[in-house]
Amino acid sequence: MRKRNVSRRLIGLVLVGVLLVVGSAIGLLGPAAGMVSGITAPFQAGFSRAGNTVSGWLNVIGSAGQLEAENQRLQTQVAALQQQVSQDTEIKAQNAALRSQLNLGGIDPDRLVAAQVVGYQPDNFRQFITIARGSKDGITAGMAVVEQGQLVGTVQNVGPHTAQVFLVIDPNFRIAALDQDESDRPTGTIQGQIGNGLEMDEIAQNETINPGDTIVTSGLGGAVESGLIIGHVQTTSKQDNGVFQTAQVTSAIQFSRLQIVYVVVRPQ
Amino acid sequence: MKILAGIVAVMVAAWLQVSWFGHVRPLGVMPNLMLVVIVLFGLWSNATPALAAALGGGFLLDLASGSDFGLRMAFFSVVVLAIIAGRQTGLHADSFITALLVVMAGTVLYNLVVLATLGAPIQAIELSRIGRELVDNLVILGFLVLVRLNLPQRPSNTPQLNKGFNR
Repeated sequence: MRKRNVSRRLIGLVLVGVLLVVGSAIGLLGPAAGMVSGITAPFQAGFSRAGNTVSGWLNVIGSAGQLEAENQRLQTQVAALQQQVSQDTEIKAQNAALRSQLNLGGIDPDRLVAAQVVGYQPDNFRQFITIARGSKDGITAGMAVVEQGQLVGTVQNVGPHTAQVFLVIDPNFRIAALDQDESDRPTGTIQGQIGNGLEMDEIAQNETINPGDTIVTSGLGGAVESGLIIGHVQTTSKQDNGVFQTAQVTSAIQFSRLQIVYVVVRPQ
Repeated sequence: MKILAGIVAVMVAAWLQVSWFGHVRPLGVMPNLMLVVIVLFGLWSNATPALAAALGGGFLLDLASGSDFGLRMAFFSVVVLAIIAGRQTGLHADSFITALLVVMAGTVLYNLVVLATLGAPIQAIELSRIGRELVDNLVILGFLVLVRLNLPQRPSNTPQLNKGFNR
């Protein structure tokens, strides 16, 4: 009799699981998921901050032996950079003046919504983050997310208080891109790779693309605006009988250390 | 009280996995803390709470995940049902070696399932990641087993559980 009760309970639990999956597939779980994420977001934010702090300490401990050499190298760099700063100030003023005249490039700060990263994808091959901003903050699916002026990913699922961001390094991520530094501005498609790398594919064989070039979003498709930096070309590879060439691209973003990111909201 | 402790354990595991281990990545990869917790639930507790933990833990991770809703719930449920079936056929649930083997098998299988959803070929980089996650998971398992050994001992319920239910 008792064994039958246990079996019933197990079958009941399995049915609950199936109902949850089906409910999610047909969109019935949206409000429940939003409510749960709204409640848990503050706790996740606390854990996330603590985790980031500990991660920083571990990095410092791990690199203690290299600190002296790095210190000398940095002092030399500081001197060079001080000279650079004064030149950059002039260039910045000129740049701002040109931008205001041309009305091109750069993101209006009023369009950036800062968002705290409160969660990561719970496995090692897919790449998503959860941010503590949602539809109540004006976030909608498809918006670009940046950090340090570079593309982090695009908003995918949006709840009232949180949203999930599809990172550029996810193996299923695709976005149209172009090489900003070459005169013919070769275009291609950026896709994520397992191991946090990026590959630019579908570049025509006759285009020129060189290591160090800056890769930006091309704006094709309209979901993400053009000109957002994705990364820099590391290596290129071309095959004689291939239709396209490819380039390995590296992003300067440390995707496992994200704390605050900025969602680029669409102009009203 | 035991139910409350179980719920807290699953919730803490979910939060730690999606926030703490998102930043602190031992060996550069995210350990699957929830898998270890679910395996230990399967081995150490009764069938019903173990399956409830698998569903609850999987559901929380599915909510935090941006892809494949239901994958974790389904996978953890299958793991727990397999453990329950194993116990009914005489699997020694209190053995550390059993826990170790189940966690190893679970880690490899889980990653293969995720890779299958991506349609990605298995290359050296994937194997390296799975290997490092395996080491992380086994360290966590060792830690949790040590914690359990230092808790006040209760009589083992393995003989009853091996029959599939608790008297």
